[in-house]
Amino acid sequence: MSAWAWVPLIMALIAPLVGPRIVRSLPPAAAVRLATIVAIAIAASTGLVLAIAAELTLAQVEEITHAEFTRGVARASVISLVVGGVAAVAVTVLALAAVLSVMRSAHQLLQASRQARHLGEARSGLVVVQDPTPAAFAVTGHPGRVVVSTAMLGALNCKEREVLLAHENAHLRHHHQVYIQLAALAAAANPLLKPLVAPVRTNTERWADETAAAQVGDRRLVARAVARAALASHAHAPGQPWPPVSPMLGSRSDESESEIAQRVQCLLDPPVRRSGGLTALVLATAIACTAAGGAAAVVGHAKVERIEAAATTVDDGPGR
Amino acid sequence: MVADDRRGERRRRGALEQQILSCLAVASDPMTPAEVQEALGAELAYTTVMTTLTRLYEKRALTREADGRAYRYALNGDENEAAANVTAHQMLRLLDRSDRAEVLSRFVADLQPGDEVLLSKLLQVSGEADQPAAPPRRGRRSSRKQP
Repeated sequence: MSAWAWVPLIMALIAPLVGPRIVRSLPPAAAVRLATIVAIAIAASTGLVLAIAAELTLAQVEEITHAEFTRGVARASVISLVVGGVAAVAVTVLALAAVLSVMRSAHQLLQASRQARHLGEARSGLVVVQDPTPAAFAVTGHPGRVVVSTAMLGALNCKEREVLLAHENAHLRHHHQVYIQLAALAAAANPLLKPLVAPVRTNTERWADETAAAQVGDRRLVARAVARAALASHAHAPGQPWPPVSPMLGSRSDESESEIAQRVQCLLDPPVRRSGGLTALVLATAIACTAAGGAAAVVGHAKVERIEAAATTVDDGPGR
Repeated sequence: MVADDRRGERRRRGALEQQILSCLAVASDPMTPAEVQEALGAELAYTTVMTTLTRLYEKRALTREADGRAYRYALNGDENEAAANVTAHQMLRLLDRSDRAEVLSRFVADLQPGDEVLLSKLLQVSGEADQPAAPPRRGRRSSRKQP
């Protein structure tokens, strides 16, 4: 295998470690887009590298069976045979996982859009459910729908309701589900990337929060709406286990903050500034990773062809 | 640019329609345009509210009854809505299944231990006195203030 092949593999190990940290220093919209692009780039290039490693191994197996089976050839090939064999198994399993993931996503989307149709001629894309459980969610579909229960509407004041509607509409308008599904697909094709899925998901929420904030022109109002909605939902979920909060538990470190607390805190903090340099760096890394994967594929394929050519000459040899 | 403007305009209009619908959904009684305008609180023109209400009525999203010189508007709870309600209920029940997270995005996720205290504190710090009024009270209040 060429040195290029190691670039995507190393990236697949590094990205999940530094990715969530980089994501935190980017505005949510940029974070979601970049994390998704990087995840897809790494998944695709590692898949390519594994596939070419497997192809190379198969070619070598053929070479050995064709060539005179000297001890030297066999010993030299054992290591690359093991590596290649593992790569072949891995690429098959991961490709299957990716296909399954795509099928699952497609099934979910179909089901959701069918359900969205059952939601009737939602007036202006909004469905109000008479329900004592405070709940609000967006359903992807053509067109998408926002579903809100009367209990949730009642828990919020008028301005906060505007925030909720703006937040859910932002999910639909910016196709947040697509990013989440692409990230999930990348993680299925390369399980090392799993740690990138949660940041993508969380940052779609942050993105929708900021879109809502831009619409109502008040980030504190959005923070308040999120907090109020979360408290209302919690107060109405008696079925869920809820350990009583002692004063000691009340003061927790920032690391263990839940998603809701983080969203509220981010809205109360000054907005994260857009960093052109960081964005360019991340994009450049994604491109470099894909290019290295491509280069490894080209080099590997050329090697396969050389081996096959050599095997043919060996075959033809005795005949001449 | 023109297409962008038009899309923005349509989005604003859609947002206002949703706001009015959600406002009427929690009101205890049918509301006049003036009451809706006051409930929305924003610097909305009366005519804008009036136009939107009429449009929603024409879409059969609202019903209205004459009350003196004005109309009182309420959500149209027809049988279509009943069917939609059943579906929406089913979806609410499905929300807790994590495998649905990719197609349904909830406004707020579940809280973790300690969040309740933290959020209550944050609400206090952000220092807004206006607590959300219970729906029936809000409806009455707005009609009382009506000149």
